[in-house]
Amino acid sequence: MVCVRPATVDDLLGMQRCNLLCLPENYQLKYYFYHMLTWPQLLFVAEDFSGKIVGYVLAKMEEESSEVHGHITSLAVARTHRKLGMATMLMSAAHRAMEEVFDARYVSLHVRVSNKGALHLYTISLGYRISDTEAKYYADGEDAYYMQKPFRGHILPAHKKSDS
Amino acid sequence: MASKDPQQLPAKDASTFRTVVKCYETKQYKKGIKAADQILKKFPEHGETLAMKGLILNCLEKKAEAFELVRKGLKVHLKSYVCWHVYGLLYRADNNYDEAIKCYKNALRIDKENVQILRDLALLQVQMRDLSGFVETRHTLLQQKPAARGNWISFAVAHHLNGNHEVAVNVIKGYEGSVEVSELTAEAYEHSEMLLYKASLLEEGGKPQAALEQLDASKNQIRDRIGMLETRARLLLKLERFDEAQQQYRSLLKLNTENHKSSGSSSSSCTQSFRSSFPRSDCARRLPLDFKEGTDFEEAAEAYVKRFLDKGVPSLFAHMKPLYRSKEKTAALGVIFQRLLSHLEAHGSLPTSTGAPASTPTESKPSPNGNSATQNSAPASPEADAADGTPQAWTLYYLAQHYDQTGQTARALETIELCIHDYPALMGGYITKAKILKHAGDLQSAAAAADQARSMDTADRYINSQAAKWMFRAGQIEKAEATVLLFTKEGDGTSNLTDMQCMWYEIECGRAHLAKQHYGKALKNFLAVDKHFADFVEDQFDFHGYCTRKMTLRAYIALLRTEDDIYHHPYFFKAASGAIETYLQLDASPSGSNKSSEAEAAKLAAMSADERKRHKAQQRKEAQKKRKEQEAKEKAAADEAAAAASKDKAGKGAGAKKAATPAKEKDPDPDGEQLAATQDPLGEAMKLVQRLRQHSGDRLGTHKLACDVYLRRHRLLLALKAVNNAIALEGTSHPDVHSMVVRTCSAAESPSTTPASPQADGTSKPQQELPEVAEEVVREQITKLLGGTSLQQYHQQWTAEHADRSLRHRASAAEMGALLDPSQSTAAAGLLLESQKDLLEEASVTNSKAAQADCVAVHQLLQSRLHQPAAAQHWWQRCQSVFRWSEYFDGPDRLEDARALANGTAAEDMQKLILEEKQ
Repeated sequence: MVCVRPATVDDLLGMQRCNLLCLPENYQLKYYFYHMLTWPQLLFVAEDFSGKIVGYVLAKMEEESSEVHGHITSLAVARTHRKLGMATMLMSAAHRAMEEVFDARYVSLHVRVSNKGALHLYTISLGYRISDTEAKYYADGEDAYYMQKPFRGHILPAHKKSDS
Repeated sequence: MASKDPQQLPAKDASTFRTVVKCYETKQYKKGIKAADQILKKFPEHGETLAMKGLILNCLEKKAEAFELVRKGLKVHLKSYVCWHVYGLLYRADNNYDEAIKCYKNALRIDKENVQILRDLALLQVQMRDLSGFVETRHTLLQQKPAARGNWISFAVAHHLNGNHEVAVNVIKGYEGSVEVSELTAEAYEHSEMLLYKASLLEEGGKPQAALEQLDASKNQIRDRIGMLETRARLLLKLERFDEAQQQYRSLLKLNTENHKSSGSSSSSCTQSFRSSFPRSDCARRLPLDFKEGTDFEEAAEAYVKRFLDKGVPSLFAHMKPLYRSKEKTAALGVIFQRLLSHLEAHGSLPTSTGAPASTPTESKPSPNGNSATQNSAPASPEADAADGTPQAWTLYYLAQHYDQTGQTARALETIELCIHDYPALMGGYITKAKILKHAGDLQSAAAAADQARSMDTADRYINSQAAKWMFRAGQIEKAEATVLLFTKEGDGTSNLTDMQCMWYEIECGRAHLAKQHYGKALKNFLAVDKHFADFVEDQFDFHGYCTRKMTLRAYIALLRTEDDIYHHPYFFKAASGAIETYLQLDASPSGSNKSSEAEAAKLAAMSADERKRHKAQQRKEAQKKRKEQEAKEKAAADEAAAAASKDKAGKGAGAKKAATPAKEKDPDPDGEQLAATQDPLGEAMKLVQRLRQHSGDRLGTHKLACDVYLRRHRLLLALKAVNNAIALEGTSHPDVHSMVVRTCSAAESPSTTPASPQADGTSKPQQELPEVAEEVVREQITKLLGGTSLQQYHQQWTAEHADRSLRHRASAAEMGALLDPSQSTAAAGLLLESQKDLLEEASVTNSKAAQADCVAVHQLLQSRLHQPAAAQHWWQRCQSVFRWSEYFDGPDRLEDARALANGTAAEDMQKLILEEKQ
């Protein structure tokens, strides 16, 4: 049984641990602090019965751009806890908070072009669509898709180069 | 300032000085130094210019020169607040906050109302948690600039931190009253955060009613709906308005059915209605299993697991694991899964529910508020293939874990092999196999199985990390490192892992090196974690000002509280413990060589002639390899140095621009050799012990290590304190506590014979005789501890009362008995061997890794400390027949490959790794 809930400052080391175990893109703890202390409502965790963080979403707002929108910085679910719909739950929670708390018009993210599983989740389950491809976005030289999903009552802005 | 003052610059130069300051602020350092030099040419003794030049040099990484200049400047102009401020900034940059605070205060003595210095001081005060000082400084600042919102908010926060909630609330109210409503609500999010913060102040200040009223009054301006609902629910609960609280929790559950922290109470009727409201919630299905019993439980459990087996959810066992605390439920789960397996074998599908009404979920019914998508689990992956397994595969997968959990290693392995054979593409099969083998003590095979799993999906970092971890546990350090590096930036080596604060890696790596007595590398890794924590504390600095601007005050307060206790984190505890153990070993054998040769001799003695021959050949090979590696390394270093030198030349040609940003400095001590060469390992250990006592006093391990270190230093009062803390935690009956009591009292009885270790270092203080008063206190404490009896009597009584409780109790009784009277070693060994009948039988039933670790410890005790080789051999053989997969006991059922792998791996290493598991 896994518990999905808003993250607290106490969860950040566990999120960092989960990120380091699961993903090749990593951040120092201070970057997690920065997210938590700027948009505290946009971080969610999935916690297993023993209190271990087995999934998280780290998201932010892009306030500089002309249209206020959210951006998913990082999402991970440990391999051991797949197929429970954790990723969908975490993402939906972040989406809702972006809309409700920060008036976001849409949400964006980057994903490795080779990551079929994630692409499937974003397009089929969550309603994102590919807006752009960014060459060599990742440190290892892989390209990224820039994806966007409009929130209710909004349409995506005319396409322009992504902004993060 | 007087006009004749030599520190007073003429107008033109004063303007140049302002340029210097501006250059510093805008980071135009070169230009700033140029301007400063212009002034210093005419007025070489101008203090403030000297100070500013120093400050700029510090930004260019010239710390020593910077301090020298600033001190010189201060000396010639002690009455300059600029000089003092600069001196403080320098200390601050050097992380010496205490000195920085003193400097700022001196500056403020000269210029009482300097806002910039007051702000800098306030930052340091809150960073150092000088809370009353912080309140005072923020008060002055508010008086200075009452128009600034930040000054009101910071003043409120200061009072909040200082425990004065009421004043804090009033300050916020004062601010609200001082500005126009339109200004207050201009930034909707910030205003919303402030309102929630105000409510939290009232709540924390013990005024739930006022908090609730405040929330309700500003409901429409609050944007963080979840935050508000959670607060409301909590407040209603505090006010004992249970019906309303329940309603509030229900609205939260509507938002998120999987947050069982929201669901709070888990009474049967409550979750029953919860389930009917949220038929798709996993939480609503799983919670009832915790309190159902008997056939009710069986029916519900079967219905629950069938869904997961159908879907192929890998974490099913993890969901059920808490239920294994109950013997009845454990047995029931075994029966259920065996039944399901038979059904699958016979019919190829799971049984449809018969007489189990709980298992007919109303799948088609849409959830009430239409957010079913969020509750739904992820759809099947686009390529639903063999890797997804079948219900049968997942049933075998579960059963293997069930058998492992219940100590039936043979059945567990048999079952997982069946699973792997039938569904070779299922990666989880290998992971589970690795886990079973690890639990049974066959670390080499466990690592091999994990590596097999890893090779099945090289794009998955999770399995890569798992495999690396188990390689470390198996002592395969190089292979583990190479595996981890597959996922870090190329060419960066492991420094990328350190940069990213990858602490699981550093702890595992440190442990593996410590087991091999690579003290330098062990310390390097453990102390890297220590440094990360220092950085985490440092990290909060930038947020003190930031959060009052952003108004994220609830999160900010939570940050400060987390930081206050961040050293309690298990990572820090593990790393600090590892480092202390390393220092203790270094202290016991400064060269590190004595100990390993002793262990080597013991190991050789335990081998047959044939094994010995193989072992020696292996060692020769290893030594040769090491030599070659060393040569290669030296050559590479020389090449690199040459390349760097030539690059340097080229760099100079390219202009000065690059010089300002020096390439990342090379680690002067990559293998931690300098760390291990410390003259005062116990002194280093004491620092870490101090930190653990401060933040991990709730852990027995802290006091055990403290006791070890203090006894080694013969600091009896401190050792006794550790003993008393341990007793407070676990009571005197705990075997580790008993060892601490006996060792400390025994050390006190023979004080003068234990001089400080005769090192020619001069750093460790010569052993002083305890002053009379202290001796008196020690005597009193010991009398109290022993309840008036002699140590010998105390020990005998403890043995009579507790020795039969577990193997560890008996081991403690034996070891301490021999310590008190070495002539009793044989008798002590007898006591231990006697336990094989009962306690070993018991251990074999559970066959857990903890039981195995205890048995390994007993073997070590017999062999190394009691010096009873015959008894040790006897024990070893008995254990061999119980732990049939154990590497340490060379279990007969270990896989052939594992034997080959382990051949030449020191038994010593194994023992340490297994022991570590236990902790």
